[in-house]
Amino acid sequence: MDVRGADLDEIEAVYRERFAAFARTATAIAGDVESGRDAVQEAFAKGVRERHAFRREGTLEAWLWPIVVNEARDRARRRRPTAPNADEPASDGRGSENDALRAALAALPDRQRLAAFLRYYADLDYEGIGAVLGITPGTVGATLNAAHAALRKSLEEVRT
Amino acid sequence: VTEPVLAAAFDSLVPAEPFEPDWVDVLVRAEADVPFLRRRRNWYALAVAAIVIGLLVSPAFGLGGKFLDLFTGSPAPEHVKTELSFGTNQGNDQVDELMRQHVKSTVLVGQARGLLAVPTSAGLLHIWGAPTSDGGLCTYMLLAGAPHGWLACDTLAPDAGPLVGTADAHNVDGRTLRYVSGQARERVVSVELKLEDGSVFPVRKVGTFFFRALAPGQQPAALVGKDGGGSVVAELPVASGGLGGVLPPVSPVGPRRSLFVLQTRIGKVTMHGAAGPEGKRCWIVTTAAEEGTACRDVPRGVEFDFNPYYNSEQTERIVLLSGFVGPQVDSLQLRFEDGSHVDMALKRAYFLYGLPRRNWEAGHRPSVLVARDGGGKVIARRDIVPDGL
Repeated sequence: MDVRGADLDEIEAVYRERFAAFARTATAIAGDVESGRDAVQEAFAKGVRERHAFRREGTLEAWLWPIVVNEARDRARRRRPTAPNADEPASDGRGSENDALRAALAALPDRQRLAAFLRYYADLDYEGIGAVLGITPGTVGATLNAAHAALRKSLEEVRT
Repeated sequence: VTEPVLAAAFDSLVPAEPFEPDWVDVLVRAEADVPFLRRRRNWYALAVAAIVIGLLVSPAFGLGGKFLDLFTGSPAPEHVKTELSFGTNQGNDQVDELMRQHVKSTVLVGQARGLLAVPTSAGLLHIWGAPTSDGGLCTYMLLAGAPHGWLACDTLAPDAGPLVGTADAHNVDGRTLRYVSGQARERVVSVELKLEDGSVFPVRKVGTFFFRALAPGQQPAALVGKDGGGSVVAELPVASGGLGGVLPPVSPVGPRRSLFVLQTRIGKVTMHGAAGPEGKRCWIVTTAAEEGTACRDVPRGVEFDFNPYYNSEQTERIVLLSGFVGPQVDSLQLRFEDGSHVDMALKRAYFLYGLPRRNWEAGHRPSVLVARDGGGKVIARRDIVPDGL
């Protein structure tokens, strides 16, 4: 039996079940909500068009994540800067922390920033992040540690 | 700064769900097949329910092939969603319920999106689309500034072929807006329109839906579906003038014979019969506002349509049962949910019946058509509600 390819129902199920994760991650990477939306929608459209290429060597979600991330990165490159930029100012007094976090994220190496987004917004484990970024889980751990250190430092500076 | 604090900081940067999911938009971008088809197991016989909701539009002559791409994918405004839900706020719930049963589905108005916007001499013609729960597609066409437009719902049968479509005409004060539209399955990548004079025009396709307005004098001959390699995968004869009808569209080939004339709330309704291509038989129902043509193979039992018709002002509606029986059928009985029945008057094997208002009510609606031969033996039963066609 040929089990290659994903069908539309499967892709739609991933889209709906994990929509918030895709939406937040793409928005964070792309830099604004509209670009994030466009990235998710276009990525899934690409997934639909190329669904026959899914070889079921991993989960469908894992196959879709790199497509979403690449679409979002494309938009971030067009946009600049690459740091997330919430469309609405925070209402809980976190404005300065947000600014600091944005600045710190913008200063991170690309891989660290992506790893952080995939960890926090997509809630992917190390293996999942590694699959998206093309690195081993061990490297993901080291990458996230470095990112966390830099981000913690920036937040602590704001708090003090 | 702990990990939860860092997580909270991330949370404050990007909203939990920064935008709404929109699967239809994904599919429109992908130009994928209408997705809703694949979920169904029991597609019913090839059916088209076409409603004309008001014809209070200006004429749209000289239609071009230009489209406003920005319109594509735009969420439908509320008034369009209302129309796509069969206008349930207009006091016509009974007819609307019949229509729902007719198409065996609920229109997923939440997923209504713009499909196309076509500049015309009468203003922009907007076309919105919404999937139905049974795998169909409802479209609503509205000229900018017009209070009402046209609603049509199509559900493709599995054996309908890769390309189905019709040439439609809407008459307004003696003037006519004509176009071809329909749906194409996934392997049809592009659609072309052949005219009788041999000229060929591209037809705009959005997802599975396609549309092209006809200029005055243009006589459509065929719709041609091509795959990604440019090979013809389907060629469908079309003829202008029909509304609704049966897919794939076929037209009468013989002279029309007058069969029935009804005086109704929307005025005079006539029905003509005619020979169709390849041994089919056709019937044409004409009102002051529209004309519907259906051509079917001659059945052993009965072929029929069950459609509402509207007057031009959208102030009145009627529901008609029309069709023809096979040569073995001697009598045809319409039974209702309440156990009552009525014998259909057959003329040259055709019948036309205006459904009384009392039979629009739940519990009193039509349930089945029973065809008998000369000996009284039942030779065919066709459910109407809830199985529709």
